[in-house]
Amino acid sequence: MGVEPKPLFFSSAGRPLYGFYCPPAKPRPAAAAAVIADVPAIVACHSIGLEHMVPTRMLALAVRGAAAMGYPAMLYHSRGHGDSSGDFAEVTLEGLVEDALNAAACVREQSGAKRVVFMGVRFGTLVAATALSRYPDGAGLILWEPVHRGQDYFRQFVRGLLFAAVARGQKLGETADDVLKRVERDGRADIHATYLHEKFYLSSRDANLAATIEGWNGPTLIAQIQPRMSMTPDNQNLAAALEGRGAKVTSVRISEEPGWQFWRIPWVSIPLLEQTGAWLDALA
Amino acid sequence: MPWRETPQELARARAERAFMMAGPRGQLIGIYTPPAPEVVPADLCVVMLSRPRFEHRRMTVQAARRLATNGFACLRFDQNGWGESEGEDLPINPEKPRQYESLTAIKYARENFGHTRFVMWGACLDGLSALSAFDGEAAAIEGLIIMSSPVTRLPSSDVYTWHNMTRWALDPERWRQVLFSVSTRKLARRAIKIALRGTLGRALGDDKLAVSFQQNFDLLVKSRACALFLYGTEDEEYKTFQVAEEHLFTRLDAATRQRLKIEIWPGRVHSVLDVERQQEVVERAVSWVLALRPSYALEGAIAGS
Repeated sequence: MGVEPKPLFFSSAGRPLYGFYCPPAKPRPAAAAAVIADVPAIVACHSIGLEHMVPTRMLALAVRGAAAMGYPAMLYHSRGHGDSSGDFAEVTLEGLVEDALNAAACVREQSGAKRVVFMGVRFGTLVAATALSRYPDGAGLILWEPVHRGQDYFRQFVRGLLFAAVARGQKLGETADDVLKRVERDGRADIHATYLHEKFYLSSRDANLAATIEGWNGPTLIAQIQPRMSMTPDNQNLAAALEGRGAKVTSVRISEEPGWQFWRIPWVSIPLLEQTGAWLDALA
Repeated sequence: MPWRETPQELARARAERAFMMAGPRGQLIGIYTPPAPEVVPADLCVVMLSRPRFEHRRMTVQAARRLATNGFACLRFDQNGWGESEGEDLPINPEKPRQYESLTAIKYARENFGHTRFVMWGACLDGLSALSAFDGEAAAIEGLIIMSSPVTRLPSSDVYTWHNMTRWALDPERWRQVLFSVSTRKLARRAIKIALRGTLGRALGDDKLAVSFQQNFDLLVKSRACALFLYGTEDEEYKTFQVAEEHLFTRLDAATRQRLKIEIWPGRVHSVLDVERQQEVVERAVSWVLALRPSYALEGAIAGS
């Protein structure tokens, strides 16, 4: 039995957002004799700006894969992103979290599920974690290449783009910190292929993943997506903190470099899909 | 300036419908933007080909809603292997445009939304897929907009150049990525292939127009459709289009030549990195489509423009 997706629009803050809902294609084995509503739904949170585009195929495949395993699952486009409405210049972390929570309400309404697994990629991990921290029925957390601190993320993001510009022969004469100061001074900065807007920057720079989920002790998947041989100290520390609270943590390394800020053919990682599928399979 | 959604565009966003259409290589997921009911309908459906369907910085989303506020219907979708659509992302090049997806979209818009007249829209290789719809649907197409599409057989890229490849080869981080990342190795193979084919092909004088492009261009010429070919002087793709200018456009009669407009802008059109320029490209493409409306010249004010 195949997945029969249902693309739809739902409302968040009075505006239409796009969602791609996949009903479960079959009952979960463990839930077959019990109540279908005990099977949690998956909500996939994307990253921001151009980083929305690079992993968009992977999120779609993950959502389809989860549905094929028997989980109701949905990805959505936040305000100011993709096919949803709203201005990118007005995006804030708080708004993104509101959208994630409304997506969770939508998938619950569609599926009848009571609990939700929040899943995020890159900046979407901060969104997923914040939504989870405010959600009474969280069933799990999936972090694909987690962003641990907002400020580090922006600096790394801008530095990578500046490096790319220099490599193309452009002389910019600006550091990452200069660009971030310019965002505060001018309200935005053109950071090659997109703008970084003041509202988003100021609302997100102090975000901290570990602090956001300090009350969480449920099942968690940390998937590090970097071409390196070991888990980063940040990922190790996060896993240790969660385990210290009694959480069941699965850490996996995916040695890939998707090129988060650059357009290219769709990024697809079979190992990451398989690892995520295995984690879900053990969940319910 | 970044796009700011107007109340009219928000109204069009509220009216949008997500859909699935069956294609020969799996289901395609798309968005249909209906024309604003308060304006005189243009009776044209703009089929936008882009990957992904919302494009870098949502240019097609913006264009679709702008056009819809002015009475045009718009249809966008993820091609096979992209976004949420099924199937594999098969190679696309000037000899292999994605004709089946263009034709599937037209058929779907006709059968489900009642449209009979279409405008095809695409940038880079998607422009060639848009053009390929003339092979089968020429009579139904009123307009074609192509933005910086490569039209010769040889691959052209201003990213996979020997200059860039040398630079990457000298970067230890790149070698680490090649060593540990499957996707980087795949990308590296593709880059070498494109650079080699391009260099060797040009050395052998094999910079001929793609056969597929010539055939579909002939169908465009025989049709009644208008077209806009938009390139930048610094686009690698413009070098390929100059071959078409020399061999195809010079033999057209005056009436046809007037129907098929060429605009060459200073600098680049084919650049996802230049935000301001990309906004100019969207503005130009939208205004060109708006002018296809029969009553356009008679109307004083065009909403949202």
